[in-house]
Amino acid sequence: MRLKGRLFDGKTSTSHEAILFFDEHGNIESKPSILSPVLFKDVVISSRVGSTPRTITFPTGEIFETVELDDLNNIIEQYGGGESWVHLLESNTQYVVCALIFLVAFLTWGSIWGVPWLSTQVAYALPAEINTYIAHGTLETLDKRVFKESKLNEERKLELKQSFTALLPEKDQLFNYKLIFRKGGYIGANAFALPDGTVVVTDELVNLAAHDDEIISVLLHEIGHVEYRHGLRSIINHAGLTALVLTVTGDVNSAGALVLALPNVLLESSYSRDLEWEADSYSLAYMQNHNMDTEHFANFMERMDNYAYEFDDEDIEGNNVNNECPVDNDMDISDITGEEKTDGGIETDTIETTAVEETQVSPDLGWLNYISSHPPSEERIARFRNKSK
Amino acid sequence: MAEQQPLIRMMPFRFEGDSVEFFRIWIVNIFLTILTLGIYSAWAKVRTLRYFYGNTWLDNNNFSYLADPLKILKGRIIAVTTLVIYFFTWEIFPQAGFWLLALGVLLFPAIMVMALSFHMNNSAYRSIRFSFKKDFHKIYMVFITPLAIVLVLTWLSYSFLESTDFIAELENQKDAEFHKEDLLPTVFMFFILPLLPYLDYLRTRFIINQTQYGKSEAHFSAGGWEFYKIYLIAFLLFMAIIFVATIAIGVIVAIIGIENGSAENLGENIGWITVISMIAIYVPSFFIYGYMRAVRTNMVFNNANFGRDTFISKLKTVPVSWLYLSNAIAIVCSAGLLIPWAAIRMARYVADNTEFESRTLDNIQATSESKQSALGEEFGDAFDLDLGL
Repeated sequence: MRLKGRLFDGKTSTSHEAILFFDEHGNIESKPSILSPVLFKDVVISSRVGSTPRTITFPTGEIFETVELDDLNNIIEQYGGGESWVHLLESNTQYVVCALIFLVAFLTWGSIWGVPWLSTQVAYALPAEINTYIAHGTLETLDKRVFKESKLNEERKLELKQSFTALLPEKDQLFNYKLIFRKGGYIGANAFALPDGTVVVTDELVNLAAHDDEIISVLLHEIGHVEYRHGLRSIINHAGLTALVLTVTGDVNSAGALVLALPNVLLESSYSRDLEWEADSYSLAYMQNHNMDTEHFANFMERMDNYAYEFDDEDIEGNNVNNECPVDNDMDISDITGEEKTDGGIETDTIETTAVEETQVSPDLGWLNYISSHPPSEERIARFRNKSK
Repeated sequence: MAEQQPLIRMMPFRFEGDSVEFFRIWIVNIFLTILTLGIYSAWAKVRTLRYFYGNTWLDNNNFSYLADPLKILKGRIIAVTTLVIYFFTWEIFPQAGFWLLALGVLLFPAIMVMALSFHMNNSAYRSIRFSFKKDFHKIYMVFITPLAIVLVLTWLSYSFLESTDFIAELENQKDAEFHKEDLLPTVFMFFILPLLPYLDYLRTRFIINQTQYGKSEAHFSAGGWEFYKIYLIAFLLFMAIIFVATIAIGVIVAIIGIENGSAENLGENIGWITVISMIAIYVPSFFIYGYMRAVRTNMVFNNANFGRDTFISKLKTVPVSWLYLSNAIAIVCSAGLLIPWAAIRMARYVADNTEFESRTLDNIQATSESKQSALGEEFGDAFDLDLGL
């Protein structure tokens, strides 16, 4: 059998038209006879990629290149060889369609259920001390950037700390729970949970509450974040989603580098909303079990909503209604903690932010809800109100 | 008989890849990567690059990519392990962050050289490999002077600012949001930004001057001011776009406000305002991206010579911008399935607008082969190192 192509000497870029002859004993000869005869088993044939040319490399360094892919295939088959199985997969439309269906199903399942499920498993398998490590340094950063010293009087603080201690889960405490107070400054009424069990409440939040059970319902929400290891789960979830997106986009990076952030933003805010919902569930269940009125959480959320809008009104009409501590409901704590890290040029902002879980109101923004980190307040309020006696 | 003039040949590049054919390879790559928990990704990368190189033709000869997937796999394992350790250290010891970053910056040039060396050594044309002269000493010497000047200037200016009463006053203000450390990155940016085109020039010149095709050495003939010209125009374009977009958004918000008669309804339209703002900023940014890509690539390639042979690159801003924009839209709308199509059409446009002007291509001598480790290449991948050529 014969094969047309070009022969390179392997030392210079010069090439010659050549024909290789393959006989039934496995000998290869070339015409013009530049090559000394060689056995088929001694040459290296490059595997097939699409319809790009293939090469036959001789032991003496010469390289024969051909675009006659079908002829080469016949020759390889004649000597008992076959196509590489990867190329067989690629060239068979049925296999490709199957791979496509599998991938669409796997990636959909993986990003919506698989990765969150895995995050939960991993987070609970890791020792609880990890949660202390990831909270490390976060409070210092927030103190430096955001918070001021609390102006609440000591009696009030002590009272709330006692209520807080009473709320904690009784048996085998894995977390080092403590309640601390700060003045929120420009983030206003808000509460945060660090993964190690530190719960931060702002003076503005304490002052905004009309009933202590309102504060308690919020503290329960924060304890829920800690108990369910939301900080750690978010970090693992983020890593998992990044790995999934990289699998799809990895080697073809120039194609759409600018749009790759989008799926991650959507999926991670969806996950964040799920975690908020779960923290709400913790608060709701505790209140029901202890015969507290779940209405308090609903009332407080409503007050937070109004508080946020009052600030908006004030801004627009110049009417100083609530001058002490305006809350900006678009303000996300990630803007603060993220900023510190991006100065360093390394993108750890998403990881860092997830170490903090906060209470935040989210107005219903229509379809923009898909990029919100919190579920719409209306839904959360309705949920608690429905359970109220 | 008169002395024979060297024959000048204009040789256009040609790209023959096909979207459907590449889609098959791409989907099987992802499928096998997931099935093997990432191990196949090294083989996937080689197949992808072999497809693109093998379909790029110049003067009836195609390029080829010859890397050994096993080496890439080893490099990937080391790179990923290092990155995981890096990020965990960062999470657990944020104080060490600065030193980690400094270490990363210090090692970066060496990693870049290793990556380029691996990449070039595995790229071939007409059976002759490209190569890269690994000169670690040189790369550090190239960058040390400009960076030292920037650091010294930053430190002097910061020390001076720190000592002024104005800064102390700002910081001592009640409830001040200002911290003097915030100034450090700003001062650094102030000095480093004007130097960026020059650093780009130094890097590009280093890369091209260290490159060889066989024994033929490449030479970069452009000066630093060529880079300044391009960056300056891009910067002015950016300012113009921000200016126009801001006005446009303002007008739109005003119109919506007037139609609804009250500012309170603004909240309901916030979604649309966000979308319009994003389009107003995002779409023109593709134009700047396209401008940088087209004009910078043209300048770099037109000044890259192999002896008396040279490239002629004729990319145009508007088509390149359109390619980026339409690719991004297609990728988003197809949930990523059009990534192969996008990559193929970009490669085709670039090949169609690049030529090689040759006098000597037939007689390039090969250099002796040397073994390369893939470590650098994979570090480059992990840090998303753009080789910028």
